[in-house]
Amino acid sequence: MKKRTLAIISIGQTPCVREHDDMLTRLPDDIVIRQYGALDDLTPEVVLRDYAPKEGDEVLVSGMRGGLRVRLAGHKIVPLLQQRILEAEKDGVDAILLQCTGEFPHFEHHVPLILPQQILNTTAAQLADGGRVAIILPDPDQVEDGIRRWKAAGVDPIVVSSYPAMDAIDHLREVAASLKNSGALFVCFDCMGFTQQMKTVVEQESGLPVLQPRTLVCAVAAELLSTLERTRP
Amino acid sequence: MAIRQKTLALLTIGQSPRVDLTGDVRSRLPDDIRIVEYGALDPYTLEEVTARFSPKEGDEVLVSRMRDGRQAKFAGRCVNPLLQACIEKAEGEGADAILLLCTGEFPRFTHRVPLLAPQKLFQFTAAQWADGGKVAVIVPDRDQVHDAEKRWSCGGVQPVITYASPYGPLSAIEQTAKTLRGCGAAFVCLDCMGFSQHMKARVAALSGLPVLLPRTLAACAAAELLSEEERPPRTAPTAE
Repeated sequence: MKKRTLAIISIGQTPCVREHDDMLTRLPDDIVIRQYGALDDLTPEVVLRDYAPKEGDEVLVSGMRGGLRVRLAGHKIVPLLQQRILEAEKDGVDAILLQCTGEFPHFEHHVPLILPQQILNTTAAQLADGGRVAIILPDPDQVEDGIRRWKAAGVDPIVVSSYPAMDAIDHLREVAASLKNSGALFVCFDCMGFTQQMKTVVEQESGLPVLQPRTLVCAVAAELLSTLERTRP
Repeated sequence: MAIRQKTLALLTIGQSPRVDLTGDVRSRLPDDIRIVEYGALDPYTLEEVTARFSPKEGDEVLVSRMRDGRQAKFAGRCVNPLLQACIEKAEGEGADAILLLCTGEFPRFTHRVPLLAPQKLFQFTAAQWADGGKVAVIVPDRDQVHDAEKRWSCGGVQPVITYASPYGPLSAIEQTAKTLRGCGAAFVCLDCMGFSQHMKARVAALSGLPVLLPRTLAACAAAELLSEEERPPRTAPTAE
């Protein structure tokens, strides 16, 4: 069976995909992964000093190896991501998935590069067809930009925030409960950090279907890379 | 807490049941999603479809499958009201979402539940993957080539369009796939929900190119929205 390699590039540090990760359940056996992290060579001190967002910057959030949460200025990590893309291509990968639903400029790349934001926006907009969608972003400073971006994508957005981590699950539960009678057709996580467990919590508390980009984007990557004929009884 | 069964309505522009298609869709759906099928042409014979709905000059040409496996060719404008009626029926019968089994362009339908029409996601995914480069597109019928050229060029790729029917012999698809080897395209798009996983595998093998199949791509998107189940872990090692 010919295998294809998918590079997964995190805006934080590797490992960004662990064993039993929900992303892996969407990748058939003929796809293998290699992981890269934009912040892999940096210490927390350097990240906090040099990559923190200032007023007006696009804010992205991620994690360092020990679990430390960091807020990053989008434009400052672009050169680090570009480096990782070139490294991955040198390592001979067949395609690259950027593990972030943020907005990015055009990167230089020779193999196909999957950018989750547009896949997520297109799928959500198509399913909503102008209707209301509840969006959950990780950080409150992203809400204003989020409203603008999702309106431009063609949905009627309700945008809220909650950090994707198991120690913040009670807050996520509250946020999900507040969406119960919002009139939204479904909920959309706007961050690759939200896991299957978090999806289940939001489904239970809000009573709404939940679109999770972490697994959606991997499923789409698999459609592009895999040639395995899959069956189900 | 028990996971609720969700109903995904599959709406073909031809006749249901689509025994040639549901297996592939099923392969991407976890156990908590059940399928119910509807067909725009369910009330008609092939002779009636040919007499009443044949495409005229300027019509969008659609191709699909009758219950007995024969191919039907008809005008998009004739089938739109039939699809709207099926949408209302599916919603009345409790569908949680509807998947339209056609990569053609459609007007806005009236619907209460999420309605996934594959064309935009299919073209969008292809455009992102191609990033301005050349993409080989296979449509079912020669009369669709001109419209496909327009549609795919606006979709952000440089299309190379050829045709082979998913309702005809596999050998014709295989012949077409061979002509694509070395054509400079980044990958192949099979532009019809009639193309199967098996046809994808044959096209990939004979063209030497990756292949994007809208049938399973759309099923994945529907599964991601509707399913609440955890999937089984993969069996092979993740890195080599």
